[in-house]
Amino acid sequence: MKDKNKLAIIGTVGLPACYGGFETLAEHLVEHTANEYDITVYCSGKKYAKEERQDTYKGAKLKYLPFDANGVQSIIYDTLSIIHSLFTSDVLLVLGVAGAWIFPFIRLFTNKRIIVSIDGIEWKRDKWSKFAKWYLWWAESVAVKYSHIDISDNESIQNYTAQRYGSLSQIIEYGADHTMKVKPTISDRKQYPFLQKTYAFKVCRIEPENNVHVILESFAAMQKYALVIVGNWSINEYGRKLKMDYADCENIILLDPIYNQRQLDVLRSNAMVYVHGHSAGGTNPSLVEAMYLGLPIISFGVSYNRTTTGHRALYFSNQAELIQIIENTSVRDLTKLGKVMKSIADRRYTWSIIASKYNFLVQKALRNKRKDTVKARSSQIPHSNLLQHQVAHLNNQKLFFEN
Amino acid sequence: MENQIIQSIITFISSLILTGLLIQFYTKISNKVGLVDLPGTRKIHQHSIPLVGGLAIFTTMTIVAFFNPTILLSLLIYKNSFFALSLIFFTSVYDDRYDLSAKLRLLIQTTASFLVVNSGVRIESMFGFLGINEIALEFQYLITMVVLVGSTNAFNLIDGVDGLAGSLGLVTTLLLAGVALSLGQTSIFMICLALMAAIIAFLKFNLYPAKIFMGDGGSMTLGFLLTVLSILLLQSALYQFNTQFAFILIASGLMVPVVDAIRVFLKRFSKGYSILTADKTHLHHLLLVDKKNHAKIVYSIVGLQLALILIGLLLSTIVGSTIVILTLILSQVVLSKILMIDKTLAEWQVQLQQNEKVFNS
Repeated sequence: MKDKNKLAIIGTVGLPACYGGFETLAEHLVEHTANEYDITVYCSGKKYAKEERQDTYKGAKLKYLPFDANGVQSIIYDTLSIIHSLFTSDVLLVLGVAGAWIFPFIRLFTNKRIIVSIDGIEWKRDKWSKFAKWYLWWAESVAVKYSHIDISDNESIQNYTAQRYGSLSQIIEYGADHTMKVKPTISDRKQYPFLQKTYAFKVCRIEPENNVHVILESFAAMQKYALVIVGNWSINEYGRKLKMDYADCENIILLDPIYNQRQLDVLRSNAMVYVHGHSAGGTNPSLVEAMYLGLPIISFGVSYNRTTTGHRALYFSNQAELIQIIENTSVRDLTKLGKVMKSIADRRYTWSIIASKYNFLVQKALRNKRKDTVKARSSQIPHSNLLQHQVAHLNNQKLFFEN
Repeated sequence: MENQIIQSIITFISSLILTGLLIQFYTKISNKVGLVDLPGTRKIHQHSIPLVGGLAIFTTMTIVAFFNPTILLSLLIYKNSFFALSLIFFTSVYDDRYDLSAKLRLLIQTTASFLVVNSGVRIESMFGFLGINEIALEFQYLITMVVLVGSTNAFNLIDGVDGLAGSLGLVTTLLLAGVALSLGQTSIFMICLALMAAIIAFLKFNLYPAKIFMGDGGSMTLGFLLTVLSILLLQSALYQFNTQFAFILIASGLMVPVVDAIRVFLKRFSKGYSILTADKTHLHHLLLVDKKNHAKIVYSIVGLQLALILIGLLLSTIVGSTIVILTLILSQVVLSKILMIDKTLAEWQVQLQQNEKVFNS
């Protein structure tokens, strides 16, 4: 039998997944493709204590590096992972751009294939300092220019990479079928009395870019609708202030983060409606998961959210619009909307589909060294030659991102 | 000695006053003879502005030279260089009025440089930079001509914001005056003194909002003159005690415009454009966030120049000239890169908002 191709997954906190979107992605990639590839996953030793570390997980080898996978240390973490993976793997699947500065050297000195997922437009996010933004901005350009394939998780980001780099980014979103509809038990009802009633739900990081303040303000003005938000309220000033300000609102329930998947699923799958306030970052796993649970979505109206929900959800851009939507949408319409969201999620956001897309890209990277550009191949032929053959119109195409 | 001090003071004051008067005079006739800069797509200013700064500075310099025996004597010694300078001056002023082609301009600059080099004003040593000391005659010709043509054009390219080329030139002149004094080069010191006064008078009219510009006639001639003076000082420093020190000082004085020009050219070259394509990637463009902060840009870039000179001085006491010069170049390049990132990042932020609007409409 032919040897399996070797694949390294770099840039996640590690497996077993208990953190964010990239880790869940890594876990399901391993589950779905461990038969076809010899997979090595790099993990942060800072997050996994010595005694809980494993050598292999679901068929993938695990390597631990003593650095944090997020923040400044991610540069060292990713870089060292990448260097180590040169000895273990043929294809490097790099999630995030922190270690991208080393790509040019890898392209120059080795024949390894690099697939990079740029994970939203990180440099735009307010949570980064000026220096971090500068670095992310530059690292992203290196990542896209020196990778064999770059992945965007959203159509709007594909437009952006096409405009900025002329690269044809591949779109792969996230899966959601690890979430489940859960019927609340008696003890659940005891712990969360609001499960008996109807309520709107939201889970997110408590940051201004997620419009938590807009949503809270809207519900404070509509006493008859209940709202439950799960998030880490004590991590920053913004969260602490919101928690204080809305402590007295009876229809608003602010919960601390829940790391137990079942418990979270109980809360969200029994909600009446999911309110999604994210304004940055591309396709948000939490939105995709809510869609998979068949919840009707009321979402902040930025392009990412519109493409994720297939332009079919309800969208708001300020407090007045959110109130207007909630007060004027009937339960019947909401149920209908939930079914639409579910059908989109079933079609696009299951891990088997996502994993097969990644699988396809790995195969493509192994076969093909040339990077896809948005321009047609005809653009490489001199204009005079095209004219001669009367096909010069080939270079007058309007590309998908041009208006 | 006392005589020389009096002569210096007289030179300085007369140069200052003369430049001021000449600027008034030339400004009056500038419209008639067509020596004005009209606003255009590549221009930041809104009205037509007289291009008389260079004319006033170098008319003053010539008049002062004829009344100052020390300068006059050195003009006679370096008459070829003076002739070359005049050639640059007249063609540049002609260029301001009628526009010369870039090729012809380069040809004239090369000719002028050759005149200077051939008369014996040459870079004869690299002062240990990259491990090179004395250089062969043919390389002396080559290197000197490249440096002359290059830094002349670099001064022209940096002349893009009110008061910038003048201020950078002033600092360089001041530095050269100091070096000249310490090397006992009285005549060069006198020239620097007269030039300083003329530039100060010019800056009074050129700082934001500018009433006049120096034009190519100013920036090219200033660049050429400063480079020739630098080379003369390098030659005299060669046989002196603190050679390395003088070399690093002089090199760092000319560094800001030259490194910026090289950076921009290399960038265009690597992207496959012609190196003469006009764009907005020079240092002052990177700092030009809103159109009214000219003064801030001038302070920042002059601040950078002073900082580089100072770092050069400090470093030269610890390490050799190779490391010093490379460090200075690297710091400027890295700084420019950061500014570039900052600027394009802001532009893309706007672009993304634009995309969002188009998407939602």
